[in-house]
Amino acid sequence: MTSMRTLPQSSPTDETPLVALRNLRVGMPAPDGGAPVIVLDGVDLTIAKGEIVGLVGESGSGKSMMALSMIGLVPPPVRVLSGSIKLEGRELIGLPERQWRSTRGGTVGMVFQDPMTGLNPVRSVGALLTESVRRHQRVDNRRALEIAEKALLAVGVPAARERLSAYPHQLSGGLRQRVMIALALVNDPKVIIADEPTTALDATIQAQILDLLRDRLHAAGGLMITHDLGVAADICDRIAVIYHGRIVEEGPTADVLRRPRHPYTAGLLAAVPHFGSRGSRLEPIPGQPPGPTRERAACSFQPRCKHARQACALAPALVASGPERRVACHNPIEEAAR
Amino acid sequence: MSAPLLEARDLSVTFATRRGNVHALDGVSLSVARGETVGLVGESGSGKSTLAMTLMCATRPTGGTIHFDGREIGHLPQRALRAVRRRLQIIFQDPYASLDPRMKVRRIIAEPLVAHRFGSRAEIAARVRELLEAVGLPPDAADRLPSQFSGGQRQRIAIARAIALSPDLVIADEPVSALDVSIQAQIINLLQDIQQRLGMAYLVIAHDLPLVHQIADRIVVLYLGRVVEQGPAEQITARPLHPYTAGLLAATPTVDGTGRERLVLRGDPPSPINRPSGCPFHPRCPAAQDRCRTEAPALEPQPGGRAVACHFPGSVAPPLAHLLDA
Repeated sequence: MTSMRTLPQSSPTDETPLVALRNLRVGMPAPDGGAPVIVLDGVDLTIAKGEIVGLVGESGSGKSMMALSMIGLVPPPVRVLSGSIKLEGRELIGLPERQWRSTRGGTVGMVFQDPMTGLNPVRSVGALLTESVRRHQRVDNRRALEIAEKALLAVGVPAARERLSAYPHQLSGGLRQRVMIALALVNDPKVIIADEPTTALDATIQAQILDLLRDRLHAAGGLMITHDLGVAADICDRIAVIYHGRIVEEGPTADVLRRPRHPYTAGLLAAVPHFGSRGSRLEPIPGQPPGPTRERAACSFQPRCKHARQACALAPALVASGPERRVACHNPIEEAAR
Repeated sequence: MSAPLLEARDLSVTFATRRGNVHALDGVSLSVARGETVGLVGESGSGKSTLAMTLMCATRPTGGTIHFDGREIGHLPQRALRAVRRRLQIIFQDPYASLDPRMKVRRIIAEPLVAHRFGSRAEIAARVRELLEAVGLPPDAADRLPSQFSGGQRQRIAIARAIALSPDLVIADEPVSALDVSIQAQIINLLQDIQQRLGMAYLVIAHDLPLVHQIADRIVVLYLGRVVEQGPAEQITARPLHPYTAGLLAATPTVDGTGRERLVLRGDPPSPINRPSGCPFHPRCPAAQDRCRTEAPALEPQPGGRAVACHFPGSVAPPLAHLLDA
């Protein structure tokens, strides 16, 4: 039997984390009144000040719903069923809409995947920025424009003053994403949530934006949501791997990628081509990711797992597995560096 | 020595728009030998999808020639293309858009067989069963609609349709980029297995350099409608000669703990409407000199079956060779 120590809630010397998600459950009642459809099933995650945490998962894993929960924008009929999201100790779940409005774009900055749909197309860059500044800070329009220009300069937009009068469609994809990052940062947020911020971008532009995000997210604290392990490896201090609405593995980025303990993490790593894999066959994960209606009594990865055993008929808890590591698996991969 | 299966020479495609002419392809030459896998890499605006459409004769070239098995096809009338299409097939990126949602899988896969008079109804039915098995789908898949399948399974259906007539060349335009990470490897392996059994050539178009490096014998790098570098896959990634290839390699995040190289190309790719003078890459090139601003370099052969279009080849090279020894 593997040891089953549970992780202490938080060691007493810890200061209050920047962000703490505790047992977050998100879902919706089934249309026919049956069992509810669960999208996030008891997620625990913390982000420390100055830390970038990567949330890695495939489509349907619940990763984007986690971002939406953190900004109070879970689309009905989906809703937060239970659990807690604290920002510097302050509970966000159950906030009235008026207070969410001062949180979003204020203390919580957001960057989305597609800068074309993430930016209002009928507003100039200057209008988008100054509106956000004036919603969250008591300044006049002239001062707001100065802040807006500084925000554009800080994210490397050339000719920032002229760009203030440009509209999103007049900018290249890379510039649009810089504008969206400026918008996320303009009110000095405490935490920034970036959902697939480079997925729509070309490789050379992605590299530019990752460099920018690495600098800027470290200044506050950030959650980086991505399907791409390479992107997570590039800028995240810690990563959490999410599968079927549950975190299955978590730990320091390099450690998790070098010594994955959950068979799903190991499977993802073996399935992705890298420059050393030429000539050898890729090892795909058989089957496909489960949908949200799939039964949750057993380990969700069991049907695709080559390490599955009898115990896997009961879903494993996310427990400590070595220093700073957590894994939810009855039969984790033992220490053997990749 | 046998002629290549597909040979495009000096291919140009120009679209007239209100804002001016777009030179989507500007003198592209490329060849694919029988049974070979060529990987075509480029970013958005590089012209890679226009090239796919032009090679399929869905877009006609404004200049240059395309020879397929020795015959010029770039300017053939539509009717004469039928015989070519039988041997030249394509797989698209989005398996949700490329399969007719109202057609049962049986009909989707049988469509090319019927169009090219493959045989009797019984022969076609038998061939559909054989194809489903070849792409790893159960026989009862034939009676279902595309909407009843996941993205990966739909791409299997598209592959079955593409190989139905045993083509000599399959063009795959971003065949896995719409799929989940855990599914991509299934499809990559399937494409490789099918090639091993049937021996067709592939032209794989992708933005993902590690993917192309995984499956291609040769890599062709496209930038702003021009081939800037081509050669054997291991050599291109181990020792890129063009600064753009080096930049693309350096920009690729890796999971093997080595981290990304710290060479970051500045700026965006320019628009194909306002092409820079001289070398199209010079505004972003860390090694550009005066000559590059005025004189466009030609694609010149290099030792080892390589070619590069650069006045100063090899001047920007991230030390990536260690990744290949790992």
